Amino acid sequence: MARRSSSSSGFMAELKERIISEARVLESPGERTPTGIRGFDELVRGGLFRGATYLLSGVSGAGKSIFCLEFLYRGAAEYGEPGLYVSLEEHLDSILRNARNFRWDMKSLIDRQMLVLLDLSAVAVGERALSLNPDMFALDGLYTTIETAVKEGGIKRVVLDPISVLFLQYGNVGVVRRELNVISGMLKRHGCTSIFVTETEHGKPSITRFGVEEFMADGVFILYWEPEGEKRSRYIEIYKMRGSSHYEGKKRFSVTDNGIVILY
Amino acid sequence: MVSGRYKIVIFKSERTPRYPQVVKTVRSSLEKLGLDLEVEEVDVSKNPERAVREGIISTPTIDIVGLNWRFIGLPTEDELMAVLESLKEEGETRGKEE
Ligand SMILES: Nc1ncnc2c1ncn2[C@@H]1O[C@H](COP(=O)(O)OP(=O)(O)OP(=O)(O)O)[C@@H](O)[C@H]1O
Ligand SMILES: [Mg+2]
Repeated sequence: MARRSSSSSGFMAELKERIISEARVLESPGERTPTGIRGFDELVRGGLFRGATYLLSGVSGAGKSIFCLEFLYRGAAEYGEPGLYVSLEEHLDSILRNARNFRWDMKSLIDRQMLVLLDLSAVAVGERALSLNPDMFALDGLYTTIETAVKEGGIKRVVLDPISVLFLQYGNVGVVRRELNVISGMLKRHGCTSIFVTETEHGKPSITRFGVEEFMADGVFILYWEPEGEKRSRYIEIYKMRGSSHYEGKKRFSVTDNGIVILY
Repeated sequence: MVSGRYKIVIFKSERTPRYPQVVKTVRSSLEKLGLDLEVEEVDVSKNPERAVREGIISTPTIDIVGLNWRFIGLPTEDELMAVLESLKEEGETRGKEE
């Protein structure tokens, strides 16, 4: 039988590469990478699955960005895994200012390119005259930016913070979901363990507004507040963790000058 | 002619939906306004450094360089012409001065 013409060979090569990388995942199920966040890895029985995409959800100020920064910091400083932080909302100088409150030496990691910070906030939020016709689009600028950084920097951990801004800006939830799924697949092929952040509305420790979690995320973690007398306490919950048992129920956590600590 | 200071960059990729329509809209808008502007097409997948440098998140993205105006997604001809119109006025004023 005649072979297909060369026009389809690119696609076939891509498909084959995908199948091979999926097969690799099957061969080594459950290879974990600890986040290094104190108390967290125990909650998920040893860490996150390498190559998986997780969703970190919570209200504003819940500690999502700190959690992600620490995930990357510990990865780079303690596990030799270079990390990429893509900021879609908060300016990098503001994030770095926050990081300075912690006893973390981010600067030397950045200098050694163990930590790559990408500021796409101005673009996402729009600090120029902008006309938006977001019916038909592909998030392939974001895709190619991330993939280039991942390939050139040997990146193993990726944070997208927050993806909710994409849903809000583009409006077309279905397309954004599909595109994020494509990006998540690319990260999986490169063996990157990733956290996508979504911001939820106040008072609701629910998951997301956009239904990203059901189809895409290998796990969902929720951060939230609860009143406790006069004060408020921070809580974390493992909502879902594919392929693993996990602690069920809420855990208190606090933010210290050495990062997040899961308490009791 | 207002080229030099101004140009149009269209960011695309293989996956860009309705890309031919984007180019057509840009070209016809320029033609209707009688503007002679350079149009550069950049494939972000082949030029990732351009995507990184210029902060391109999605395609199609149309940059009116010099005006600091960016269209994300496919604009209508009217929308595009409304923005490009200001270049025409500028070109005419400068033409008179010269
Ligand atoms: N050094 C520190 N020590 C203790 N708490 C801190 C420290 N730095 C920040 N915090 C707390 O963390 C909060 C901010 O956390 P973070 O920026 O991670 O929130 P977020 O969930 O990302 O919010 P947003 O959705 O607005 O981006 C602050 O409001 C403060 O309560
Ligand atoms: Mg944040």
